[in-house]
Amino acid sequence: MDIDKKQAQESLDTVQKTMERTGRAIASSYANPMLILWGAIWVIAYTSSHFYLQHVAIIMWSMALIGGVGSLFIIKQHRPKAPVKSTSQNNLSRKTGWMWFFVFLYLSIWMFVLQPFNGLQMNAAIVIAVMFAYVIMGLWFNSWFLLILGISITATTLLGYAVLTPYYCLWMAATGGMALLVTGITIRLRWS
Amino acid sequence: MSGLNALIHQPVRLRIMSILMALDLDEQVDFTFLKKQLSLTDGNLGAHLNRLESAGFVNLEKTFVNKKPKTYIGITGTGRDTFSEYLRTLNQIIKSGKML
Repeated sequence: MDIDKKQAQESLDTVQKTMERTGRAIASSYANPMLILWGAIWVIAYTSSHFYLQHVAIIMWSMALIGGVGSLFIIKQHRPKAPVKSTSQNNLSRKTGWMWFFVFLYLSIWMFVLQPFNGLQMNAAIVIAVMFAYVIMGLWFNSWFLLILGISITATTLLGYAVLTPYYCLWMAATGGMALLVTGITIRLRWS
Repeated sequence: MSGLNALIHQPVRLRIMSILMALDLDEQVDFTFLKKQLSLTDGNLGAHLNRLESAGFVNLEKTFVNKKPKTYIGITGTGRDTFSEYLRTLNQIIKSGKML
């Protein structure tokens, strides 16, 4: 069959746009409920921590527990509706779940060994450790999104910790929490 | 230089193959997702998929998830190779400016 340069370029553009849109649609189906859940948890946890800094350990660990249970619920609900089926995906999800379990287990061990420290230090340490896991995952899975998210929230955390110390928790609720929420909602509205 | 594959070049099938090429090697996509992405009816999508399946470019797997029937579509090795060849031909046309 005969086509000219312009038609060939149009076909190539169609292929490129379709592949990009597919990637975004698949990613959004997995990512946005999680981003919205963790964004909401982040906002609640940090806003409460600002007013009750003496109870920061209880607040952060209970919110992490709620987030963990919520994530498992989302995964369970999402699995039958997932647009893509993969044999290796199940293994990958299981390994990712175990990775997060060990991140929090080791974080607890470090906290136990390194104590005493104040609520602010503990709070910042938790975020930085979680973001470190994001950076590693970003490198491992070639995901710029995770890599940039991990590095930017680490930078935001350090800025809040070092410069905006009295308003650290509110700063984290407004930047980290709202960033996750807005990203989740934007993906839901634009990419789905 | 081989010519363009007419079966793939048809606009709807081109988009179907592009979606399937966006998946990893061991992945299959749900029929409903494909239908939504392409804004097609069940019958129309089914007809295009049957043509691609007959050519050996895609495989269809019918299964049950929570007692509901589901169809998953994946791209075969032949489908990937043929689509890659199709893209190479498009690039050659663009570079040379000649009709094929």
